[in-house]
Amino acid sequence: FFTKIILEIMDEIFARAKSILVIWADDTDPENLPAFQEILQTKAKQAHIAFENVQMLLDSRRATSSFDVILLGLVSKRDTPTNVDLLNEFFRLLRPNGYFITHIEHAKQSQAIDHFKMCGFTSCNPLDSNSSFLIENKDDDVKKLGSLWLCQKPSFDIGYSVPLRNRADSKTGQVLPTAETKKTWTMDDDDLIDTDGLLDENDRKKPDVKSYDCGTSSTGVRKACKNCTCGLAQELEQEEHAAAKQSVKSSCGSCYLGDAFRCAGCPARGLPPFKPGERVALPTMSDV
Amino acid sequence: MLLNILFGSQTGTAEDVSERFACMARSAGVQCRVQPLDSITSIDDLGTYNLFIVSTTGDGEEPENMRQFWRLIMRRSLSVVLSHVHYALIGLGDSTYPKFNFVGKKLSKRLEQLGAQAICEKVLADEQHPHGTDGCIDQTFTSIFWKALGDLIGQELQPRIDQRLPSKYQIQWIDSDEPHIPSNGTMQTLKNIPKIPPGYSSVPLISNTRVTSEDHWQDVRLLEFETDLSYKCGDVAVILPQCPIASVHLLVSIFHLEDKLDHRFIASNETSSLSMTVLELFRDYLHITRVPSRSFFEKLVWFADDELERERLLEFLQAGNMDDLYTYCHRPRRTSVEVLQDFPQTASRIPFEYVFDLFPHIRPRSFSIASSPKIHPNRIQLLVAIVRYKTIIALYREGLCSNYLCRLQSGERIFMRIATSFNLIDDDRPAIMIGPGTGVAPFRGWILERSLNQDKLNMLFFGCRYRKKDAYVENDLLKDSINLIYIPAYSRDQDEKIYVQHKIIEYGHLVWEWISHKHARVYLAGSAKQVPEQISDALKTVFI
Repeated sequence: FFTKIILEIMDEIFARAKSILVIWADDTDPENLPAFQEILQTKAKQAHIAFENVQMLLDSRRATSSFDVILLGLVSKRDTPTNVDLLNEFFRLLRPNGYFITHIEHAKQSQAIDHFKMCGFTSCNPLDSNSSFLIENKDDDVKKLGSLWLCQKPSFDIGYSVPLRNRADSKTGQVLPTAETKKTWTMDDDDLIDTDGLLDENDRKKPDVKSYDCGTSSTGVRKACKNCTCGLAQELEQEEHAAAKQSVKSSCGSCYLGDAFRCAGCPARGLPPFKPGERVALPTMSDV
Repeated sequence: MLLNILFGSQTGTAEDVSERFACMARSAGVQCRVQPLDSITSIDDLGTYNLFIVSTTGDGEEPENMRQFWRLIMRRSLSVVLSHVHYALIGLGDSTYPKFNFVGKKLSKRLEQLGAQAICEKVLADEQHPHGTDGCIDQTFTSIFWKALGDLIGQELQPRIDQRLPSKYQIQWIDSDEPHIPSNGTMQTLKNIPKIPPGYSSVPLISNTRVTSEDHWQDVRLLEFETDLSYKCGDVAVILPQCPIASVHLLVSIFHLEDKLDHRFIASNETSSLSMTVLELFRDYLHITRVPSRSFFEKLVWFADDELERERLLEFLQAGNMDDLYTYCHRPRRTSVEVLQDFPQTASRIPFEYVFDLFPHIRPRSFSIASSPKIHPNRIQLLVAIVRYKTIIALYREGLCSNYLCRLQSGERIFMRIATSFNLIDDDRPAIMIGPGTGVAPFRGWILERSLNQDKLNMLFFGCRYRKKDAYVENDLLKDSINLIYIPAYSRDQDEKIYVQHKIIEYGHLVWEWISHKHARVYLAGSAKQVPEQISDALKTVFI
């Protein structure tokens, strides 16, 4: 049952792919490449297929997130070993939700899976099929002692960090079941992404307060925060009072109206409105 | 076409901005729906056109009313599921905090990742902007948003600020002397029933003691309440404050409602219904002393007939005059009542039902509990720093809840409930606590409690300004029976400033020994502004 689902999904993966990268190694017989390309193209009708030698890959510096599927070491008789640098590069090259497929010897699989996960791949599952066109070119004994593995890059780009699974879990190399029959090929757990990974360098910078355009000649004055308990508000208060004491003359004649209508130098500044000719005594708030 | 306005708001600012954009939408003929983000329970609930308005609170965290949404949208298993969604985003934050607007930044990146399309460039509004967050938003976002949304839906959108919208509630007055028969047929008199808000308990005050010296500028109180509410160390007391009675009376006189104070009314609309007296409305329900936002002024225009006042209001609201409005209102922290005092003609023309549009509901405030249920049975103690300062306005600016508590006399009752906050793990591992100022509150009760077991080791770094003026934990914690290594930092008792982080470095060897050899845990409480960064820098120094 499980195998069947996987084969169907494999078909879908290839059918939808727009861009596939086939990585070959020095032990690949070059005569096998065109044939492989042909059969792959029939499965992946809309895909552009690129080929690269594993030694040249890191130097090529291809564009980030540019492939839907990467196949490693399938065209050769023996398996191509993976290492962390290579896997990181595959991760970078894949689009979010892209797939990485390779063939791994059973004896080496737990270490390989560890590496896959360390580099960010999720949903790493073996494909229990020896008849896939993907491994036609492999030696029989290689096919017998290993499996095809399918891994996926999660649904967002670089910056995401995977919690390292317990060593114990990965060593069993268990097949992870899909939940219900969801279309998305990822574990439907309640885990959240590491949201800090969403932010880049620029996000962590604070804005330059001085660069705020206030539209007038107002200077960037020190402002006490709303719940000032550090004393800055008291300091500002002293400054304000000193400034207020200096202005004695009113120049607008509307002192009796509220602050909304008073001029900057008004001696009544800070007081509520009052009747013209009369000064109201300030109602004292409780001074407890 | 429906515009979903979705907000994540901790202290009401984002909710305020949402209301403002909703008013703009309605005045432009755009149907809209305003909801907190937690109303979105599945990805499908996001419609086609969405305006996200999200604050950042605490240490770069999302506000409470969008926590569930956060867990939904940040699920690892999501793939590109929002390609049908158009969105715009307003982030609200304060750049004096290191994690400035992190919630807005993260959400917009995530929405992009999931395939949503931006209607226009987002704005990360900053409280430190010369004109505050409102100024920031209007300067870089508002008109661009309406234009871009209009282009998108093929309709020119011109929000008009001077067009009066229907009030949120309709009012029906009840004769307070006669019994009121509600629709289910039972008879009830509505006089003088003390209503306890759901979830809260009515709790009496035992004592209210100042713990800083009289000659110190800051007034810090130790308040003790009697209650059988159960709590543990690290929990917070959530309190519903009342507006100061002087402000209530001032507003009542501005509205000429003096003889209606005891009159009861029902305010209702499609979704809810409230009943209270006029006094209760202005004292217990509406935050009348809140510093008004731009939308308050926009609404006053609806009622401004008097030429002088109308002209001034429109002038304040002009795009190029943001500085003027900011200098008048926001910067000196002028309250809504005080603004109405300056515009008496307009104020007297405001129909009663519009008070719900002008003032938001009072929000509860949380205070870390400073006592321990084991040491202080049936008691809850709070350490509260009273926020009181002067600006150019003659009357003191006062924090709503701290001053409410400050004025309480013994016997008076308040509404309180308990919420979890700090997770203090009480096992045998030693605890290193760093609590400058009133941040020390949760540690006070916890240290007393842990000292019941002499094997539990405790270390406290406490910071204040002067040993003789505000070292308010020393009375309680410096006793033989208390198992504590106490390391104070008195910042102003010497020429150079000494803070807790300096002490951490000074005692680094001890800190290191406790952490590496004794498996001590480190707890930090206090202001989220610079303290966490400075402390972690100090700890890093210790570890290296």
